[in-house]
Amino acid sequence: MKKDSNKGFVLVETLIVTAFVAGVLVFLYIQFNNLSRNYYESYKYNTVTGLYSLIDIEEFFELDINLPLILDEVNKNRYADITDCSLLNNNEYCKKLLELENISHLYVTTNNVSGIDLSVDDDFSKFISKINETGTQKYRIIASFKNGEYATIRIGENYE
Amino acid sequence: MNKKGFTLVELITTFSLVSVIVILLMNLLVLIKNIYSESNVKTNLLINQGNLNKVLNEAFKKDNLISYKSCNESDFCYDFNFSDGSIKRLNVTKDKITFDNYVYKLSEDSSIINPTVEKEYTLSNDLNSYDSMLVIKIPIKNKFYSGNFGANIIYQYNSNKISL
Repeated sequence: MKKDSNKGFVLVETLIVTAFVAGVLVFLYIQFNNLSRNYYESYKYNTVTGLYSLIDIEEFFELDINLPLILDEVNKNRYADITDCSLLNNNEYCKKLLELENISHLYVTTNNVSGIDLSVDDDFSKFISKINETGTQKYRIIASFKNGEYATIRIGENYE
Repeated sequence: MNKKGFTLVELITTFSLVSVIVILLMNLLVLIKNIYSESNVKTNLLINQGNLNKVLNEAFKKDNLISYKSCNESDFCYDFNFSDGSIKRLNVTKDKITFDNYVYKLSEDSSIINPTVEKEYTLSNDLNSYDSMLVIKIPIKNKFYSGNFGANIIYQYNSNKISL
């Protein structure tokens, strides 16, 4: 007489459990992947040398006679692209300074950068999206460097 | 017949699922452990870099530089003479940086690569603005982490007012 065994798992049960466990693991893996990627990216933001480079840039801006024109442009369009130094009076010096500071893109913007479309690459956009508006200064310098780093400082304590 | 216990199929299925879970969790643990240990070392490098840049920038921004000349203590040694009358010596050897009272001793896995002091001059449209720079580069590299953990100081001046 044949006896049926009731022990063991049905195939469907096994598949359901496997799919559930695999789903949980994939979710955890994605979360930790994002975590580690954000961790490594954060080392490229507002580095020591980047911040001091922008302080040098600000020091130079304050002496340029075209600074009011640049600030007018920022007040109108919320940003001014300084990368090619054409807006500055002392543009040869500006180009040399940007070259020595290893800067690839440089912008002067309003302190609040939300909603500004700077037409930059994804990594730069990601950095800009993390900038919070704090402080009483009206303006901000944002730069990307040739080594993949980014930095920003607030400026404009003495500006009208 | 004894109906207690597990069948072979159940055991094999359970062990294989558990082993897959354990392997993936171990990978995550190793990743977190690496992040933790790396952050300690890298944080120290960044703190030292911050201090080095702060000391150098404060000295060069606080007072006007009048002159500088090399000294004989090592291959890279310069005395900087400031407008307040102070003379600050910057001495860089293979594993140590000293500037005035500040000393930075590098760890064994870091090294200083080709420090330089150079002057740059450009033609300026504006006699009152800057037209020259004194560039001090002290690159510090680490065996385990990419990037420059040193200093890049740019002292901007007007050559019509100061001659370095």
